[in-house]
Amino acid sequence: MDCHDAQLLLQACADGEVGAADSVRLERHLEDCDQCVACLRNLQALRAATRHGAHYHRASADLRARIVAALPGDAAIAPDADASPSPPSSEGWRRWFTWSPAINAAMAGVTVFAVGLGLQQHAMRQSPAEGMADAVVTSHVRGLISNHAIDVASSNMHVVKPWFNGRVDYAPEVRDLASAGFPLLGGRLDYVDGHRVAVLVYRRDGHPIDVFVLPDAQRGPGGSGEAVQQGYQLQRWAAGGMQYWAVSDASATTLRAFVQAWRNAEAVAP
Amino acid sequence: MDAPATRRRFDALVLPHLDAAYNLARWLCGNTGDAEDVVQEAFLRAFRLFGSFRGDQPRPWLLAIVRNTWFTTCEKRRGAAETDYEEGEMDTALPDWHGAATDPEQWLMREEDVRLVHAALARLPVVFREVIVLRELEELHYRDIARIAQIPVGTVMSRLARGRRMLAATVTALRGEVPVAAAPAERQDLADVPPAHPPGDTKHGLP
Repeated sequence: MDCHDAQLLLQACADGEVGAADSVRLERHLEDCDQCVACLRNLQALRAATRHGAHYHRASADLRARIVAALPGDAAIAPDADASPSPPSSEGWRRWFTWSPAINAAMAGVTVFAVGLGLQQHAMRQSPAEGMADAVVTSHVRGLISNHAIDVASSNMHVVKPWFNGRVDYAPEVRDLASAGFPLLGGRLDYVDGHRVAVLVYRRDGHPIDVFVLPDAQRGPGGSGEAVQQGYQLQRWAAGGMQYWAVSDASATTLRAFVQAWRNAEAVAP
Repeated sequence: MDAPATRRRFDALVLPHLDAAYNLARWLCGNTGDAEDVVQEAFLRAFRLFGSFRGDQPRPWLLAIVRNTWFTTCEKRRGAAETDYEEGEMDTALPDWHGAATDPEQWLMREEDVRLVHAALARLPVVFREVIVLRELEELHYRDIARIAQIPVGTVMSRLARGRRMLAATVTALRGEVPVAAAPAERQDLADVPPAHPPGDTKHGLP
């Protein structure tokens, strides 16, 4: 990689949007290019300065009230909008409650949004399995979109397995499932949940199947199960101290057959 | 779903992003009045379109509507004043990426530059301003920015790269201006700021 290639990658790197394969190539380039290292530092400084220096404009209470009032639908959200305001009282703290209807409406609205947001966030809080499923699907999709689904293309497990030597700190099991109808396409390095992980790529009738191999069963939810996320099928299982996640756009039945084939197959001799 | 339920769902999912909507509109429009009009119109549109909203990621969804509303109301009225940028012609006028890196002090944000960033960002052509606002202030991913600005992800990346270089060059230019807010520079002036200096030049871009 030369400096020209590195330029857009540096942007993506500073933005945290660089893929695993590119990340490895960029790291290698940065090791012996001080200019690009300086560029990356400058970019990061510029990003920090922009976030601190550029003002985040917030909507005024008046605008909020106008929008709440203009939206059609539930009037219960703006109680007493038609009620006449109580006469102004001069005595002490009671004056606090003689707000105009618009402000009352706005405050009621704000309360409802706050509660709603809290409930929504509570409802959306992810279990470890969901978080991991999310990360796996994201990584799978990113691989497909960026045309980086495969780093080492080979149907030979004795080529794919050694390729991971020195790239990840464990030796992933690679199994030959061609006889079961799942030919091996190759493998790639990906980055999931803050770690480099080995990904094996198989195929069934045009559907790519990614198998994410994570080194220890303690990381992630453990056990086995299946899920559907954004239309992708997911299967997870643990074996030999490894956690496996298979993800594919193939049908649930196909993916279950794949997992069965994986379990039946002999592991390649280390 | 009946009307009150729809409204409640809208209030819970979409209304919390009012600040984000306003921030984007304010940066796009450059003034409070237009920004408030755009946001109000955008919320009405969003409510009409809410039936087709699938329920994930309401913020990018809303911001896309805000951006669209701004484009159809303000930007059309103004004509193609700022959007007639030839993407290609920027390259020649922009500072050389590496020329600056040999003298980090010259390019790097200095402590006192942080306060200049706001003014500098406000002066960038809107196509660059919007991707920087979406990336830095809204912290959105490239894919969401692409959806909102209706451009390919590759264009998001190249606009961010150019926008950031222009931002740095503009900050450098503003250092020499007293006071900061006076005399808005012509766009051409901003692009022409020469950031690369011969070795040994220690003026850091000051005239």
